Amino acid sequence: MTKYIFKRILYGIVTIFIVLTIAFLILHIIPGDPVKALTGIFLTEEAYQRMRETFGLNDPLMIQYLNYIKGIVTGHLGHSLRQKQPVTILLIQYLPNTIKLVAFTLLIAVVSSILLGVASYKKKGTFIDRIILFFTMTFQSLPNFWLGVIFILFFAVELKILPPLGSKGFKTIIMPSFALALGLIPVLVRFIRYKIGEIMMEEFVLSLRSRGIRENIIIYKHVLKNITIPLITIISQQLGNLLAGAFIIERVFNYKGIGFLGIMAATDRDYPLLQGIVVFVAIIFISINIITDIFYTFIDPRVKYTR
Amino acid sequence: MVEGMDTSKYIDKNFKRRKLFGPYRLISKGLSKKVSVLIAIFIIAVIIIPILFAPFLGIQDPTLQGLEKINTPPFWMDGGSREHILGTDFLGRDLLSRILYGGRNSLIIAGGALIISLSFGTLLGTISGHFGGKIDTIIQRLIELQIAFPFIILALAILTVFPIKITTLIFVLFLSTWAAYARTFRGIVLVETKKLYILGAKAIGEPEIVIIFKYLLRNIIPTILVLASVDLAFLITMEAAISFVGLGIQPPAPSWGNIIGEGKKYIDIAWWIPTMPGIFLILLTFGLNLLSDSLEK
Repeated sequence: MTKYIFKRILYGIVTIFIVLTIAFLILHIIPGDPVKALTGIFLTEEAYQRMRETFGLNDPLMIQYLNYIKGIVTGHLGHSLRQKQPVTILLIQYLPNTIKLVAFTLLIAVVSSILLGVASYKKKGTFIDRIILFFTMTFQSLPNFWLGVIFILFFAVELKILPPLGSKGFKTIIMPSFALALGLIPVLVRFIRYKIGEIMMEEFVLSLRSRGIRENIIIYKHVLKNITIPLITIISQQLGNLLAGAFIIERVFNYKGIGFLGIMAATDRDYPLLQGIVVFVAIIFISINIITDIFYTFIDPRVKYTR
Repeated sequence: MVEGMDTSKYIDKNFKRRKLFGPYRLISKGLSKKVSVLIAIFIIAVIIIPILFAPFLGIQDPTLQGLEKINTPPFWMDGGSREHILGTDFLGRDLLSRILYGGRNSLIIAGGALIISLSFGTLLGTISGHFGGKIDTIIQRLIELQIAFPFIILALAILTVFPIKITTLIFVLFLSTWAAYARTFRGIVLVETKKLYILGAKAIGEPEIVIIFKYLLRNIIPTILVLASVDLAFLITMEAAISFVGLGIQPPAPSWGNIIGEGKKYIDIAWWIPTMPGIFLILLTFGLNLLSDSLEK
């Protein structure tokens, strides 16, 4: 089993390296001059050369690459052009907001999906079930950024009960989280509905029923315990989509998180910041994947035998 | 998976059987496959045909500004007129024509990405499944990487560095979706290759290329249709998202995304600007999803 863990970590590090290299290549084969982009054309020749030296642009590509890797490992991700601050500082400043957003979104999504999924299962085939499934499919078709705009229109402009923009305070997190969660809930509801059906067929349910335990208690207490692990599976699969959605949603609501920072970096052509964000998100994401994978070897012993 | 049985039949439940008739039955049981397909095609056609024929419909130029009539509402509201059915935007441009022309732009990009993605992904998946071995492993790893990874990060990087043109956008969209095809078709190929007709073809000495094109690909058209419908919806939404944040189609050229993005600022005085394109987008996505679902059964 340790061999499996070791292999997974190795595989993860290799993946990270590949992604980092791709990011480096993309951002450094640009046909353009980052210095000129930053300072414009009114620059003396020696000032220009000095800037190139500072940014290390005169070194051969390999040296730049090695410095880049060295920087990542030591936590120096460069200096943002537009914000005039070190990239790492910016990341640390903006990250907590995104974490709050994602956490709240997951909370809303998981709670609602369990309620809806169980209801859908219990009333399988009836009107309520169909309605739930219909709304499931509808919400999955909605573009979440547009949904965010509609939320703003409804709750901020018309009803005036929630702030349309910003990231301070609890109220600003409500609309973005719901917008994100509504994209996740359909997937979870369908999954839960199916999984509960599967679990109910297992033998322990028969034993519980034969002891006379009420159906509701069977569902909510025992079956739900068995749902946790598959649920974690599917959530970690959806994490990529969730993150991508967060990027856009943060822009819609001007919510100062990593996604917002990333979009700003892209539109401002702030290469160092963008590079930092790509690196950061890639590392975090792949690490989470690996940790989840390793987590499984402890939870489900069957996994390590199937590899 | 533990073998079990459905023990609910041992429970004494008071079954309430509802009588299923009339419109209630329709909602409760769902529609038959053929009807679903027809409805889906209808919805899609209603949206796509005006879009495709936009230049011939005699509607206004989407970039024609009318600074004396900015932010006029749709015709059913006060201050609206039939001249601008969905109202005008913040520069006095007719919203409906912007939406229709924007739909064209979005369709071109999403459609282009779809075709390239489909071809490349299918080919790659088929090669992967057919040849197996080292090639298969590498391609599989790539597929896994692409599917799990939030592509938006890569999209941001590419769109920052390279000039934003139609080809760049198509490329970015293609990158986000080729793997679904590759994975599906790899699976199909793995199954089909074991079947007799392929083995027979090999026995007669048909060259590999011919086997791939003549037999395998022909059997996967229905699956392609199912995947492609959903994928088109996804790609159009993606293009809209990219344009929304300003990294896609640049104004004054319209795209559903950038109409919503630019219009968001005016949401308190001209809510129709960001809302209307979204409705078109939803309808199209819904139609495509419905099409895919109903084709699947």
